[in-house]
Amino acid sequence: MRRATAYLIALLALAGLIAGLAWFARIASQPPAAPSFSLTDRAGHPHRLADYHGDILIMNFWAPWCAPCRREMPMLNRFARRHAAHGVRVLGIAVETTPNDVARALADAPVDYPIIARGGAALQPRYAATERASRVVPLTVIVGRSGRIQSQLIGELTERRLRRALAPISGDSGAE
Amino acid sequence: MNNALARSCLYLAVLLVCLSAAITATAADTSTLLPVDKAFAPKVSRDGPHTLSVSWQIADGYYLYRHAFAFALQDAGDARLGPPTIPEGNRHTDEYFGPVETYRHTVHIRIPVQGDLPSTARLAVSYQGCADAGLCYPPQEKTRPIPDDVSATATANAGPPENARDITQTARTAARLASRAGGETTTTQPSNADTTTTLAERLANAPHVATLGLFLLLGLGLAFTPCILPMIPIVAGLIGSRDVSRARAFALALAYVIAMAVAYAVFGVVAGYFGANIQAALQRPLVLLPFAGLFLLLAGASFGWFDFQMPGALRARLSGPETTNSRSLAGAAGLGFAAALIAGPCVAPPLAGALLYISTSGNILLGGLALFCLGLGMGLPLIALAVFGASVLPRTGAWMAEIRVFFGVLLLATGFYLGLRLAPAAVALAAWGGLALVYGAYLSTRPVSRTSLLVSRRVAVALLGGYVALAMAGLAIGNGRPTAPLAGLASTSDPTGAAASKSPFERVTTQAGLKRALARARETNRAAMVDVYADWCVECVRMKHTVFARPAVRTALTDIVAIEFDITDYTADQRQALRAMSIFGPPTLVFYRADGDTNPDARVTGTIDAETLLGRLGGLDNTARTP
Repeated sequence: MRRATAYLIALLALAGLIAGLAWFARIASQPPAAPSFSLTDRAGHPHRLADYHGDILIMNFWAPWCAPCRREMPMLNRFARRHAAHGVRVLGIAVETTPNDVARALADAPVDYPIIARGGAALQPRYAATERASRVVPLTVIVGRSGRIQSQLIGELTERRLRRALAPISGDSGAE
Repeated sequence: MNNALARSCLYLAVLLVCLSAAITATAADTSTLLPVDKAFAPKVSRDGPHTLSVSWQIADGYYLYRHAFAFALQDAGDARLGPPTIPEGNRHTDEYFGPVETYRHTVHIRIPVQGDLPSTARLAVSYQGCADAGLCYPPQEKTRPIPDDVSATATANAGPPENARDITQTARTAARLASRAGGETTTTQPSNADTTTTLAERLANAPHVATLGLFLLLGLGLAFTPCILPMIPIVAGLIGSRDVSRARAFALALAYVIAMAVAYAVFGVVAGYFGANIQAALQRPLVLLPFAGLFLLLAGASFGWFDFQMPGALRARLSGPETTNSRSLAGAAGLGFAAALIAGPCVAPPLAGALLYISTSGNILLGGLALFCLGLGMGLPLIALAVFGASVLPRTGAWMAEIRVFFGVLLLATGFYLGLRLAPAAVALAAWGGLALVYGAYLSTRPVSRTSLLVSRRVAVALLGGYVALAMAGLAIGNGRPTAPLAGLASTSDPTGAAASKSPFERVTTQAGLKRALARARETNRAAMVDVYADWCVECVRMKHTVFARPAVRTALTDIVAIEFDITDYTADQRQALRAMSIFGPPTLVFYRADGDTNPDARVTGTIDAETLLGRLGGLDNTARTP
């Protein structure tokens, strides 16, 4: 009887822990919802998170003084053009800079996708998964079709890296 | 039985170890990324009376750009910097920047100084660098004291502000000191001013096992707060760990504690995930008043006016038909779950820290586990009591009765603390004074056996009597608060009292109003500070009467746009605004630079002291730099 009670205790404790773990795992495996934003790009067009619902949004945090950022932008530009029909959209967000420096950088190497030159600095820490990621560029955050953050890529992108990050959510109609 | 228990504990331990290993593994991605001060931190030294040198140790795989180096003297009187001697770096041609020079491993720059350097002089160093991994750090500007005169620089201008003329000067000094403290590799935190932010930062940076340990300790600390400690004997009685074998008592306590810890984890994760304002939710009158009542009830139980037991029907249902003589594990677990909710208002600050981390980082697993550890820590004394305590915890004896009364008073005080924040200050003062009077009178009539006890009792009675006298005086004068009974005296004799009634804050209550106020600040090119405030937030009210009432702070606040975002009503609109700004609740200060941008450092969650606030305010115009 006492032995049976002891086993029961162990069993209950284990069951409780496993249930807790399962619960945590389920919550943890669900990607977090992207924080909402409302910003105006250089052309004066408003951009809100809600506008991108149903699309895959690639948010690229960059700065004019950052060489790796500048190197990846032409690739992003090509990628955005090629996959626009699949609902893949790119939004460039300049941080730690001035609108003038952004204008100069884009005059040297223009891109077609919209660029936010003001007010984006506050957005990066909200989108970065860690404190450190919030302080480096380039940081690329991928928001899935249902408005959840699917992945974050720190450092210079290659097309292969980007495509691999998009693979789990792009499905048949996505990239490639 | 003991063997089986030991085995089950072993299972638990193994599971927990596996779990923490799994968490550590998932976090490998960014742990390889060095914080900027580890990647390259400048060191300023003096080579001679007229030469300064600045050197960097650059981590492997990281490099600095020559074109981003810049130096400037501050507070140096007539002294000027000559052209720096920068060694040749690795030259290459960047497709966007043209020819660039970079430095790896180490770089040493000499700067000649023309004129005599005063001891207060400091050097502002600007630099920017990247990592081979294909990422860059934003331009850095660090202001460092120039050695030889370090001690003199640190103690200069440290005195408190005495008159209005010195105020701006002191604010600037504070700002400089703060920025220097931030510059120096940021290992020291600026006191316990912003505990929740610090906690969240530590969560974000510390290795995860250490984080969980930290929360375990934190929980243990919380177990000794007035809201939890007095409940331990009551709980021990409730779950019945006194009348059963030691092993059974341990099992009961363990079930209680695990359930309590799970409740914290579940509660916290759900709240954090949905971004609910936990502190606000716990501080609404509808929640506070029942809690206050519950604590008063518990106090009654502690005084021995009645015995606290679960209703018989409920107990029978929980324990089942065959175990009528021993309490059930499920019952203990249920109590534990409920206890977590009862103690909620007390643990709000650490809870908010963990929640802040969950909501900003999305690392729900770690946040949940941290809260679980918090709960475990809070339960450790109970487990200890259950294992060792059947004999330790006496049931009779005069001193035990005194302890029970003391705990009862603590519980009453907790009830007062929760309930009276909704009452007018005079009522609260009267209630606290009454409590002090009754307990003092009670203590003075108790027989005491030993002389040492007699002395400590006299001291306690004298202190309580003193507070009673102050409270009575405060009630007579008017305008008193429980924490400052004679506040009315000061405000009537203070000639600046009239000015004090005019707040430097612009008060807004809606999201739209807040946006308009911030937009006006941006248009007029002024920095701004938003104080998220609510009447039901004890710390907010305290800060309003102390920190924000200081003349130095008021002056500094008039230089910028100070906005009080009053969320006392806690409407849907206000909740949405808080969510949009990822703010957990009051008190929170958010700082905006003149260009309207805010950065992650520029907020304080929790309380702040006047000096730190002045530092932050003074730093606002410094941070409005353009790289």
